[in-house]
Amino acid sequence: MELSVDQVARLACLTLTPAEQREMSAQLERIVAYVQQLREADVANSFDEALRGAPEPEWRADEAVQSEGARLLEHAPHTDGRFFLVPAVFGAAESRGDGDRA
Amino acid sequence: MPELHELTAVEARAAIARAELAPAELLAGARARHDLVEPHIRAYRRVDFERAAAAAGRPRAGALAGLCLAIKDNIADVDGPTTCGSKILANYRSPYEAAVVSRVKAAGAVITGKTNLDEFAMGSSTENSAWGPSRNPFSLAHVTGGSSGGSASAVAAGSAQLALGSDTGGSIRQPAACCGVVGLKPTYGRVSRYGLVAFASSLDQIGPLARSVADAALLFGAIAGHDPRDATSARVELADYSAAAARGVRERLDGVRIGLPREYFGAGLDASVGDRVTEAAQHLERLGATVREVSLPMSRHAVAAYYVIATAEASSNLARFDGVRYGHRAGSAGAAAAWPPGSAPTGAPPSSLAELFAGSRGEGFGPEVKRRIILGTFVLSAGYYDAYYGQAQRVRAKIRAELEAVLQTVDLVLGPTMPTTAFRIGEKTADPLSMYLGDIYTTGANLAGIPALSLPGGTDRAGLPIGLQLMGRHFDEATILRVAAALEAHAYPPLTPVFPRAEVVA
Repeated sequence: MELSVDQVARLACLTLTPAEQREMSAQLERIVAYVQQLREADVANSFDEALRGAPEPEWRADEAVQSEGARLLEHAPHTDGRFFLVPAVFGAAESRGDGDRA
Repeated sequence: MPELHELTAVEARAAIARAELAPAELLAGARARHDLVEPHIRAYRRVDFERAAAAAGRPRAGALAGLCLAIKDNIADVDGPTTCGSKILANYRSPYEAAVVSRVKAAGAVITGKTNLDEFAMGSSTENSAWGPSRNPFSLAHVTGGSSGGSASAVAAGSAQLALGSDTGGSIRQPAACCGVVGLKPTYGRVSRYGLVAFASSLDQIGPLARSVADAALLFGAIAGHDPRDATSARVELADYSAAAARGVRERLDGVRIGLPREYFGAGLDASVGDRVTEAAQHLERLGATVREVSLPMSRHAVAAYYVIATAEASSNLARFDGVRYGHRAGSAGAAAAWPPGSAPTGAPPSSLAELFAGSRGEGFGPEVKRRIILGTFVLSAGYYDAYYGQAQRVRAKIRAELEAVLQTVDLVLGPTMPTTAFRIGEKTADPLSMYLGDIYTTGANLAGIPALSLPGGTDRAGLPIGLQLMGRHFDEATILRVAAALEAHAYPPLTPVFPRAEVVA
């Protein structure tokens, strides 16, 4: 495998124990070697053939719908009733943020 | 007179319609059976017979009126947690219910509970559930197949008449094959995925598991159809699927053309399975169908293309589990209180947002999910994207074009569902690639988006079920159900629920 599991795990925001990393490296090496066979496949004009006769996508109207809003906060591990609480990005205190922006 | 849990859904429905059987009696039969078999097979993640009894006491008219139905635990309901077999969602309660759940309720079904699965539907054996494997009633030492193993096991043992599963690369058809029941993966877009926890969105599809073809047709008819809440849901006319199955029982198959792919009979296929496929082809010929060899040379790349595309989509879909908005959060006891006995979070409380994300995911996900997230992230990363993901999409397009071309010359493709019968629990857990290779016959239908069904076609020498797969044209589930019903009626009678048997020795 051309990339280290450690490096990919960082890209994926995923903590792995050293034991998990070792085991996964060996397994993924075999899996990646197996999928290399895709390079041998003749894929000339593949999308042309596949898309022939495909139906036109159906567009929905751009209408506002009621969101689940406050109910979604009920499922969060930490909130202050209005916002999701997460560790501070700057400084030490737990701060308000919605996870996506942070 | 059959016992209550032995009635097929169609038989029970007829008895209820004639007022010879009350839904509450039928449920009591399922419950009694559940109490006997569940300690052995561990098919359910959650049962709620009190709620079910209340539903059975308020009979509703509809196609599924009074029938006992189990739902795979990656399909959202609002009656309890939807765990996906994962610690990260151990206490997750969905704020809304899946479209299929609303549909089966509206059709009068009585929901018995939620069934066990491979974590996030990633697996072919149901061994990847954080709560341990379900077991195959034909042999408790063997896997149920996966990932809808709990649904298949419950139906096979008679603790549910019908069940819903989901199929991304074979997850309805493989457990159906392993447990001797019927499983249908509908055409992509035929059944709404609204409320199905996403694994690989371009491949996932919900479908029925049942003991007979007519039962599968009945449930499929109740869940199929357009839903504006799923952008990939298709507005394509439905057929009368129960009528299609009935026609298969009643009429010969003159004029039906069946293809047998030559590539399916190569190395890796157990002789016992291959022989049964050949035998099924002979049955079809006797019923009037014409059978001929076809060729699907690209099918040998299906597993490789599937494991690149599915993991790429999974790595993106599962990015939402970050410990902030729902699910397990590192350093917090909330979800961990519902974790399986003996497991507990291991990491230190996170001191930064990055540690919160990575730690929550590291503690909450199991080994197979982590493996797939890593593989999916790798094949999408800069420098490798085109060689892996891009090439897999080109191969996928070829696989689809090839299947569509063959299905212009024949009406259905017949083959095995799996290369072997169920393997032993633990046999393949240390070797994920060998587990993946078992998906060789099922992944093609997902990559192409076409419908496919697994029908029990007898057993091997040890008594373990063998699955026959029929694949058809886009949105032509009716022909699959017709031909499957003909095979069932003339060669492979539906299963009587199996009482869990100790290990069988091959």
